[in-house]
Amino acid sequence: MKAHWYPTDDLPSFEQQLMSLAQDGRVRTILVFACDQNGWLKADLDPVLQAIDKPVLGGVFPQVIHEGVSHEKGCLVVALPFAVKHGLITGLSDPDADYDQQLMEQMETLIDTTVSQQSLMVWVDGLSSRIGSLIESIFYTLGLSFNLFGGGAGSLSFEQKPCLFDNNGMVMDAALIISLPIATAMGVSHGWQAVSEPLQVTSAEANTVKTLNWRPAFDVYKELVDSMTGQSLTPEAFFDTAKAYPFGLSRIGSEIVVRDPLKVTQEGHMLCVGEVPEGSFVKILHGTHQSLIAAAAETKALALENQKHDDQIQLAFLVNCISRVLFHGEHLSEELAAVLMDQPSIGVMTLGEIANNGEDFIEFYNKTMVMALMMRYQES
Amino acid sequence: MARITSSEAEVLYQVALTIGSSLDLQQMLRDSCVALIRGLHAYGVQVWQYEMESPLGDLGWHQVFAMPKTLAQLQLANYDPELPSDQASFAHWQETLPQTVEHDDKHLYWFHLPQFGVLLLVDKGEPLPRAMLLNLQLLMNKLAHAAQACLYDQRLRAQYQELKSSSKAKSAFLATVSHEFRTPLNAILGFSDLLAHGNLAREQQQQLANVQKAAKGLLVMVDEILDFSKLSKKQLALEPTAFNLQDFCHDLIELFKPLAQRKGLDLQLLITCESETDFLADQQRLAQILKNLLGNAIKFTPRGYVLLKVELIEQDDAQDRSLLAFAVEDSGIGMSPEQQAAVFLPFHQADSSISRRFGGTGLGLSISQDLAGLMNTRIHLESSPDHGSRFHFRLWLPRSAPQQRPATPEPVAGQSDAAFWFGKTILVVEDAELNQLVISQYLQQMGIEVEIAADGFAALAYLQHHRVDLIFMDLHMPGIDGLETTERIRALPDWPDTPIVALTAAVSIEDRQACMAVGMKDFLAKPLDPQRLASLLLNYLGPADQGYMPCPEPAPIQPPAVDKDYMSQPMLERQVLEQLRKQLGDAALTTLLASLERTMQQQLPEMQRLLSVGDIVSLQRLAHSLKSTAATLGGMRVSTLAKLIEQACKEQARPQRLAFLLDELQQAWQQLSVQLFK
Repeated sequence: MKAHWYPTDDLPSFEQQLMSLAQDGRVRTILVFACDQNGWLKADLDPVLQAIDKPVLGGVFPQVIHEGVSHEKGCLVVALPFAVKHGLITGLSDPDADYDQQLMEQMETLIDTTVSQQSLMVWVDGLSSRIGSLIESIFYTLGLSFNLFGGGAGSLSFEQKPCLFDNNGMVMDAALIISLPIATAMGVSHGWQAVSEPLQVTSAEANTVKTLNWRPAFDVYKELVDSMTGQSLTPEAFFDTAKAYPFGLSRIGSEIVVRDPLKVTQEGHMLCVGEVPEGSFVKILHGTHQSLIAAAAETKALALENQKHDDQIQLAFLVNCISRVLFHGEHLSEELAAVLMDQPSIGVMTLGEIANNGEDFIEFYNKTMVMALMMRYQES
Repeated sequence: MARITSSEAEVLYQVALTIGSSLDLQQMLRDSCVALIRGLHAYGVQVWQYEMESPLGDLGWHQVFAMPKTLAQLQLANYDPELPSDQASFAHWQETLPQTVEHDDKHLYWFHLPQFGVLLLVDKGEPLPRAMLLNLQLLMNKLAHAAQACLYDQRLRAQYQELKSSSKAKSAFLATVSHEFRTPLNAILGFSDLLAHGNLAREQQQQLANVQKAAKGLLVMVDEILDFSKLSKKQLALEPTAFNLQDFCHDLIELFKPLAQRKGLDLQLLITCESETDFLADQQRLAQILKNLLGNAIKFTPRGYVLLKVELIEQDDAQDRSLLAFAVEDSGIGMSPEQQAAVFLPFHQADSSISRRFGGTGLGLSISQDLAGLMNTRIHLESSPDHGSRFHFRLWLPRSAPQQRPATPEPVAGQSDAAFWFGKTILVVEDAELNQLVISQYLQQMGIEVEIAADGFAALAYLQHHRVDLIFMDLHMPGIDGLETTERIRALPDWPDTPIVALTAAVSIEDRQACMAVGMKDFLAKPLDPQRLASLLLNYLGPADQGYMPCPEPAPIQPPAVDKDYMSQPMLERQVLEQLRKQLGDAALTTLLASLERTMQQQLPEMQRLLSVGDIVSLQRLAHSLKSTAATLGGMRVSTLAKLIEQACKEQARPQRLAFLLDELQQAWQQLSVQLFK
């Protein structure tokens, strides 16, 4: 399991690197995490992917992390010395799509019953509207047998476009599930604290919060945030302020789950990354650089805590929310430094994070850091 | 009791909102359990339902829901939930619920779902406070009620489906029985018709007339039930054909005139529509509606008038269609508003005395309304007691090019009663044996030499070495058809101008153009009209030798044109048979009848076989040939059915329809053969 960093956005160069990696007999599978700003188009990338005779799986992300540095251009390639199973779930915004059925149909190609250790990577198109339903279906169908991590691919432009791929080419509005025959140890934390009373979500549809406490969501949110910032929040400059005041969904016995409000619609509805169930209660959260950086350190500590005695860490994989990058600005390096390991550290900046340590309900997080320590592959 | 935290209250509220979210048990349990697991960040949930397995109180348990979906996924190693096996121990156990069981590093929370079963919630970490557990138990009570509502709904749906299937089975039974009734009824009608032509005493004639009347009435009822069951199963499809509205309405009035006259009623037709306008509609079904309305009007009008009124309301030239208003008015007994409200319901008559006084199934108006529905319209009713009734509906009908009217026989110039063309030779190219016989008999009686070719190849072979003065060419034949044969004849060096006349049962404009395009000169319709034949011969063979016939024969009666309403067709048009006997003689007629019997005995099983192997093209050809063969000998119902089969083949109708028509054809032939040979 070896990570390669290619700092170029030049597709022909990448193609050459990929070709030479594919010719290496020790490599069985190639994972690719590319930066959105490379500007690689489906029409150009598809022939490259189709030409490789080994499984190539991955996605396009707002930024990619390599050894404590987040990059806006370039490409991270992980060469795996083992075969993986994988499946593609489609229609991730389709209200009629049946994810239970799709997962059941792909069960054989997705889950390897012959290996003793197994962890799942779940990469979704981060701008899809039914990610929560997919997560629920994964929990219902696959249960608690696997550690699971991943997040939302896509572009910070918030324009939905093809962002996940396998050897057939790039797709959008889908999820790519990769089953790795290795053990993992997970840590999840965010560092956001509640600064308001609970607000009842009185009307919501998928990832759109329409009303809070029976009033237009934005009106209620603006009143509260204005009182905290002393400034007047406008729909136009919404994200600049909202990135520091996300929503939080209560959980008993677990950390609050963050929901990142992205923009305000003309009707005063608030569009979030991830579903907000109608009837749930949300609080407005706030964080500081210090609290977030402290949470990052906690993420690493939790991951190490979950490591079993005989596990040998080979790679630390970080799934970090892109909005933390926007929040931190120049402080980002401090957060990334807090999670650096002795082992190679790589990762992606995402539109929403997915994690589960096989012990409770799988969550789709926002503004959260997930660390997956990937253990050495042991042949069965 | 300790208070719950606001976070716990939020979770309880969220779970409460999802209870009863759906009447589908799985969906409802899933919504509630997801809210529960998500809110408590729990491990999973399982729900068991119990059933009483014996009157002694034995309980059987089965898992109705799990999330994740199997027990194995909950990773409860060595945990086997021993659920109470009888009612008494369950009653004892449920008093202890909610209950927490520690297992490995997990907490197992058991909740009672009253009158339904139990729910197991698995969690890790800090145990839930007792107050939270008790609040959750309150929600579980609600969840149990919601689950029972789901089961109740499920049972109702099952019962509804059962009733629906039972109703379907009844309809199917009605359809089958009605269909089966028709066979013996047709035999009764056929034999009584035969008896009526024998020598009967006056009293016997009256008795027979009563039998016929009752049988016909019964047949109408059986047909109504059959239509009703087809309509209720949505199996009835309209079959639009072109028709002339004026002729159509006049025919209807003519049909009811005798009945109206017997009651002393004034039956009138008022039609405001150009006589030349033809329309496209399912004539049989439109007639069925109007016959029902006219029949009812006459039935329920003791004195006064019955009026059929057809008005042109609007012309839509863009879509080449017209809006017509049909109305049947009478000065009869009328109906109260209550009677009007129920008059279109099936098996309904205005009051129970009606069926005693007037008879009928009470299905006629229901069927008419359903047929109107098929035509995208609705029959409306205006009526009041003792002031008559007015049934009316509007119908958009596509306009059609005027149809060719049956030609009036042309007088044969220079011809008195009979004509002879001695020394002339005509080649008849025709595959149907009976048609060969009929036309040969006619032509030979006119002194003409007749050569027969059973198909196009035989005709071409014959013409290589022989001369003829005229060729009659059937259009539909096996091998090469009449059009191709004509083309090939026209290509022969010696035969470019010999007149070729198409022999066909019915020709469309397209057929006519195709015939002309390959060089045919004229058409002769089957069954043969001797006057039209003589006129043709005059045109193409020149003036005839006259005066040899000792006594003039009356012009033969043209059999009525075949109609889709085959049950209204006479089984045997005896006048046609009599005319043939007079013109051709007993011996020739016997030969023709023997030929018909042979043809039918060969062709009916063959048609069944063709249908079974799916050779629809050959089936269509046989039906076409049978159509004219039967009509020539007056077998009008057989002919009509053959035509319907030909048409159904052409329209690629479903095999069930073809099988039905073949069945009807078989029965019609059995009845016809009784009348022809016994």
